[in-house]
Amino acid sequence: MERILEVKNIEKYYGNKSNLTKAIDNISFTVDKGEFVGIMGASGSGKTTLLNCISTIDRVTAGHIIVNKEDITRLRGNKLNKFRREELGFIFQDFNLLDTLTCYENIALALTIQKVSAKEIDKRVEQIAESLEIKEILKKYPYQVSGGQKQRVASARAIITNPKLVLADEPTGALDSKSARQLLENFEFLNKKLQATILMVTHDAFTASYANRILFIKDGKIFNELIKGNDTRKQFFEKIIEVQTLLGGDLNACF
Amino acid sequence: MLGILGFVSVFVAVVLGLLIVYANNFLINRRKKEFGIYMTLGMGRRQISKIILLETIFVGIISLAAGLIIGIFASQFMSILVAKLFEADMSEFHFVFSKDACIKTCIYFAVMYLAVMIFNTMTISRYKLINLLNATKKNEKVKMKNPFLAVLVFIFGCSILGFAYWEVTGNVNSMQTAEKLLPPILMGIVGTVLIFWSLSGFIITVIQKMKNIYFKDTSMFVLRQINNKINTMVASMSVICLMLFMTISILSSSLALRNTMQRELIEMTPVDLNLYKTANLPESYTRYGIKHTTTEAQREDSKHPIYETLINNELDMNVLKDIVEIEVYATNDLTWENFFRRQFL
Repeated sequence: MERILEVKNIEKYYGNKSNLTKAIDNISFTVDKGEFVGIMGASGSGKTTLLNCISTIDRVTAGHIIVNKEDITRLRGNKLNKFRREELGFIFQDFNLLDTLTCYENIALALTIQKVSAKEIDKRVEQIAESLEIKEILKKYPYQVSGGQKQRVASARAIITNPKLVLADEPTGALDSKSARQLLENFEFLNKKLQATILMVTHDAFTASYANRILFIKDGKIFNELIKGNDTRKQFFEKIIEVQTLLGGDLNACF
Repeated sequence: MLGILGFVSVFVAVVLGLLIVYANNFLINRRKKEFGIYMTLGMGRRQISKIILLETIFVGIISLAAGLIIGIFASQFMSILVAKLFEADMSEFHFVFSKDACIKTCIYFAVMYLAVMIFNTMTISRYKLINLLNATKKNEKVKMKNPFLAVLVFIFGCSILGFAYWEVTGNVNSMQTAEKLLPPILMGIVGTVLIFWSLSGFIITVIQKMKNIYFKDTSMFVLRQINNKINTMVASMSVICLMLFMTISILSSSLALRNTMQRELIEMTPVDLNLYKTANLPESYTRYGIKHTTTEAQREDSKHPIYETLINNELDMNVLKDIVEIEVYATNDLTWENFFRRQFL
């Protein structure tokens, strides 16, 4: 399988003189095309920072990140913008939709920035809205729709440009269980049918169970990895809970 | 006079420009998260700057048009007001449109907006993407001053300001010339700025010592909020304070000047009409180095008083009330020396 992402020995410090924090401590891993990877950890474990570094929103202090054979830690200026535009798609926990645009326009914005032709835009937006079941709300504004629908609009915006990598930061964090389930089933659809590679950060075991590979992070280091293989989602969920129990038990026994 | 007016309008434009840049900066800061989203979608800084530029240009054009129209009408109103103040003749008044003023306004406006656009672009290019996205979550940095220094500076500022004010009130008689006003004005400016700079630190230091006030109800909150506002707005508050000072002083001194002018005018011109006539003109005479010759008719007329000359020329004497006739004599035999005996020579 083609390797989409390779993270090599990255470290991230932030803060200032009076307040230095080591958020990521020498992490390395790889992600292949078509994988649905989950990064799990408690609050403060460094998973959001990790995602921010991979998505070029933030910069690592040391190490390399290679996406689709391109070292993004070396990219600057316009090359970086081009990379973000064409190769990446983001889904945030707080949706980050633009209030002044309708849902249709929010999704189309990703294409207009890439200077796609007008006919093309309409066709693609309708198509993606159909598969994510948000066709009815396309003309509405973000303040008029529910959280689950907003997150699906954000997902549509993220994948409509056919990015190599979709990065989701706690996508179900602000959703109720029904919307969360629906969103995760949409993610499964995106992953299996549309071949999107998804890297998802979460602290919730239920959300994580939809992935087919989980990396556990604690205090900036990867300390465990689970692969779904042929397990059902329920079996995978139980395995995840086991690892979490280990975490809640006597920690010093593991290291 | 026109030079001073020109200078004042430049000064007003500069101050307004600073305030507009400040307000614009504030508005851009409020939209940080929105710009962060654009950047995650892959929009470059140049594109974002272009968007902001277009927005600013549109807003600029609309406000320039509105301002020009309001200004043209307001200036008519102002000129009527000023004319009335100086009791000018209002019957000749008509609508005035100054092309120069219009052009100047457009130029100042363009310069101001150029400054605004440059600042905007600089602001956007400085921000890192992570800071833009997290702008709403981060706490505001509080710039606190060294308390000891604040107290010292506050006392120093107060004394300078107090001295300056005393100079122009209690000691006003020593202000004989316009140049003497400059030191108190400068001291006033420096004193005001220093006071605003140190005010927050001073208040905090003083009130924190008074525990029964400090810990009462929500005093801590109110105190810190006011302090923070004062701290962040030192520059704009000083500028506004000094502008007010200038406005009030200029307004009151111009009213005072006008009153003085009126009074002097009345004193200096006790009569409506002054008529002079030289009596007993010789055949030729020299005045101020110029030789004049007189005709027979002029010599004849100079033997009669002014009153008769007027009647002879068929003036209706009823238009003149309160006539005072004064005869002035001159002789070559009497000189200044005869009167003053070399005292003032």
